[in-house]
Amino acid sequence: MASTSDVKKEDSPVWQYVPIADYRLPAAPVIQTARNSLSVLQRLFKRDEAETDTLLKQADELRMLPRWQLERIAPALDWKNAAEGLNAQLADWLEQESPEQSIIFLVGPPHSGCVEILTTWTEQQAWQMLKSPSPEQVMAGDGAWLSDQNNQRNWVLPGLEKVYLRHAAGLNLIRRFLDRACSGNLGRGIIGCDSWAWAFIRHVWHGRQPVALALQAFQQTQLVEIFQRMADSADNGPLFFRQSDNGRYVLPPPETSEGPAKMSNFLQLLAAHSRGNVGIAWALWRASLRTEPDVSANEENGKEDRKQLGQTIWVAPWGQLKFPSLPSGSGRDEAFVLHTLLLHNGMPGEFLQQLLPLSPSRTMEMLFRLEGAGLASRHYDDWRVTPLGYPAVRQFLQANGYLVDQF
Amino acid sequence: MNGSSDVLEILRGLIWANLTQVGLIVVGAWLLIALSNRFLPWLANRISSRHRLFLLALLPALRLLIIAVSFILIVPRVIDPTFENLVALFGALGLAAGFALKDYASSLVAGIVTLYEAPYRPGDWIKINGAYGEVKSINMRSVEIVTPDDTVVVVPHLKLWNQLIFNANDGGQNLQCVADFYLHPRHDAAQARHTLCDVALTSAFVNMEQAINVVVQEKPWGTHYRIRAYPVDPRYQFDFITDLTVRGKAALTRLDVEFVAMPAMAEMGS
Repeated sequence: MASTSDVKKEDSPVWQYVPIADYRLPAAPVIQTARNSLSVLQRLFKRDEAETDTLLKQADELRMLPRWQLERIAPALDWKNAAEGLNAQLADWLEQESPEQSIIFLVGPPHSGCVEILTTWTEQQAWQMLKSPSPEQVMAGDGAWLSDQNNQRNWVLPGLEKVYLRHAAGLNLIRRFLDRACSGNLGRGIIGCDSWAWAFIRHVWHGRQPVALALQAFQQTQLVEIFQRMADSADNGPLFFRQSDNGRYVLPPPETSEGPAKMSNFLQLLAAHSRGNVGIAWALWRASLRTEPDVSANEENGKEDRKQLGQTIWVAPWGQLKFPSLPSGSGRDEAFVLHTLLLHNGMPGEFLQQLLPLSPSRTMEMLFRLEGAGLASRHYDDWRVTPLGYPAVRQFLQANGYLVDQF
Repeated sequence: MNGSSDVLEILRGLIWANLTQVGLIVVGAWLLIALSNRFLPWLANRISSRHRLFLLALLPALRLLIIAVSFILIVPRVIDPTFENLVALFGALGLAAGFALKDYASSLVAGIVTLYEAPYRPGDWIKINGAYGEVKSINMRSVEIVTPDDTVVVVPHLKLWNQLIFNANDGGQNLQCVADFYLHPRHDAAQARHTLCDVALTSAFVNMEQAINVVVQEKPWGTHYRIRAYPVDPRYQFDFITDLTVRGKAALTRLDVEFVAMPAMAEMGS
């Protein structure tokens, strides 16, 4: 088991951007890999269980953190640092008068914050943000949208996945746009692209190979730093993050004279399960935090005491966490819906119906079924794969031979 | 002494205890085979399609193993397994099988050959004597295939000796599908080909890691287009072809391309 000093040993930047080929997935401990294989076997023989069976063992002693406490201890990711990291990576390119590559791609998996990072960066640098075409414009191959982009100088398109549809009439616009952009006709620009769309686009567009960057996968050390910063950011007082079954520390505690604290490998498991995707890791982190009932109940009364004495936040052991999984008997139709949602980074139900070889009612039935399983959710008009369900969905699609991303 | 009296002499030592043991071995083997026949296909349908074919292919080999082990266990309980006894017994049995059950024996031998030559495995899509379907089970004497019309066709293994066997996926996941389009010759062929390529690329069924190709041939009655592509799972082949055809026709209609009716009759007349 690692100690505090081991966890702090590596010193690499949190927000690091690398060429896609240099993306390195976090490694899972060997024991966990064996457990995962065993759980796949177990799933073969078990039927769908009622929700009550999936509750944590310590449900009677610990409870999920209330929303107000989650917002203080694990608030939404702040993309400013990520945007600054991107700026540092692009510094040389930005300084050049006429760079050899006029376009740079930023590719990231779902929920990894690609759009948010580029939006923040665009605001910081005062570049022009290009508006994505509507699905109707994409289907019509609308030349007007393309002409609107002609007079830009420094621009950012945060979501390339919204410029195409997986439909025979939905590829013309993206091909023409990429041809013009990558030949330098649209000036200098940065294009954000979801990793699933990127995998698909590489099969449908064969132009000049662009420079493509990705946010490097978050290893355990980066997760420690980012979660620690979150916990320290609010006026929380000292917080001790400990694993609820063995009391080991998940985040390093304040230095004491007792020597290095025994550390849990929870965050190593988290990094591996989320494949280094910071957005997924953050969602899983929030889902794993627990508190004792009396602590959260007296929100105001105990505030002063906690500031002085510190509060222990319990982290559910990895083996006791239950994440959404594909319903038993899931097959082709579920795969079609999930794959299409990922290829477009979410889309409205009515367009999904046009893209799939399923009847509209069957498509909606699948969406509601997946929503019930916690794998898909509605975000405004768009249906998306949930961050907690994403690892299971990716594994399911890969096992069944569908095109997957490389992250 | 003739062959049959030799065999009777060899079998004379049988006692009830041995017969009971033989019976138990036969029942045990039958149970194991029945269990594997049910369990392995059930398991194969629950795991990912990538591993399904491998698991199904284990079934006939496992059955042969059970039969071989049962046979090895039974022989010493029926006869004294000396060289002379075995030669006499198998000689007599071989003679009888050679005359009376020639085709049956030939199918049994061919069944063993299929296990190591593997011209077809469970999960393969094969065509023998005009019957096309998915191999559901490989028995000792025959192979059972299920046609797309849900009809079971039982084909004896002896067809292996002298018939052409067409295997569309050969133990793997890659099964090429072809969707045909027959167009009037007056159109932009490059645009039509490009459109049909996009139709295949955007199919929900398509395996994008495999090549997609559109073959164009000029015929006396018009232009023949063939989309060649692979579905993610061989079981989706007919739905895949349907999807390509429906969406291909819609895409070509948007191009205002005219379709040719009854090319076969035109071809016959030309």
